[in-house]
Amino acid sequence: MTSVSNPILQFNNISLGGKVGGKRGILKLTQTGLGWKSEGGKNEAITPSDIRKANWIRVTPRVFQLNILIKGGANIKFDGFREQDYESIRKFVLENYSQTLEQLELSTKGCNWGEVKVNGPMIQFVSNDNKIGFEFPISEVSQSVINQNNKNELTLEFHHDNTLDFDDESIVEMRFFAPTRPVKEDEQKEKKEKEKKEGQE
Amino acid sequence: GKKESPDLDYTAITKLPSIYSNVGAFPPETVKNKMLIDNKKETILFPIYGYMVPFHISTIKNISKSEEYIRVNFNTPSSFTQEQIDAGFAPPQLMYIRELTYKVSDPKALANNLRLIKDLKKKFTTRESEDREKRT
Repeated sequence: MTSVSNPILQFNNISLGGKVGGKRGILKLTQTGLGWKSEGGKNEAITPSDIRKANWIRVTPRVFQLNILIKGGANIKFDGFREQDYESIRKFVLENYSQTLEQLELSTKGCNWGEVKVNGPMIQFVSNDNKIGFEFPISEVSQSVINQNNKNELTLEFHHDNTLDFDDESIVEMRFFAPTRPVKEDEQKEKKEKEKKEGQE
Repeated sequence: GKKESPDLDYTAITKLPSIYSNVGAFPPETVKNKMLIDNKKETILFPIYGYMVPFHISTIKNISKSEEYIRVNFNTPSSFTQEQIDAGFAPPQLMYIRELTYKVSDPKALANNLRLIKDLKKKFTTRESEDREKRT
């Protein structure tokens, strides 16, 4: 038996992921690409040739995300899918965009340490099982400050998100700390000699 | 006596089990725009750019508020040891989160979050010191 796939796949109540606020809209997958339109007239369009990778991520127990990595390294995220939407999207994306929809898991470690990685325009916080805990585009950072009294401390301030609702709780600042590392013996020797020299002057 | 560390210290860079097996195991009421205090797992879930990120209560040092902001300070070691580096636990990009600041416009939610996190912290600290006494 042969199955003919539906040329259009449509989902309502889809919001743009990667942030807390944001209007819901309609996402349409067609043979010519993905198109999302919100009630307020905002839209997002992706052509199949721009798609580098398609991932499927569970973001809360009930809500799933279609995460599209596009040329240039940016991520476009669509939130609001249910678990059972996976199969139809997987099939559509494979048949029409020749992409395998991969299931990605977020980190559920619970630690406050991780590797900070720069991945194209994204800053990612990755746990030691190689899963992403969180990520944000560098463009969301309004200011980054290295503490003058403690050079191992970095503070990032984030742009105000003006799409927020009254009950949205949003992050405004994040501070990272890199613990110091023991100085290697020969480096220590060098440093001591330098200090000695300076002391004599 | 000898200072003993708690059984699971989520600030320590050792191989620790995940608190949740996966996101599906988060409390069912989890939503992406609000922090959630999970007393059962002794963990706080913080919303960060559309993902919910769990932090075990042992990672949290203290929490405070000023106006409509909640500031969470985390425990961080001041340095790595040579043993930790040799064991491969501390790759060059490894960093700790020291502080998160949130804007919580709803005063009820702000007071509630603050109280729940403080209560959980207190409970955890008490249990930890009781465990330590039992062992000695």
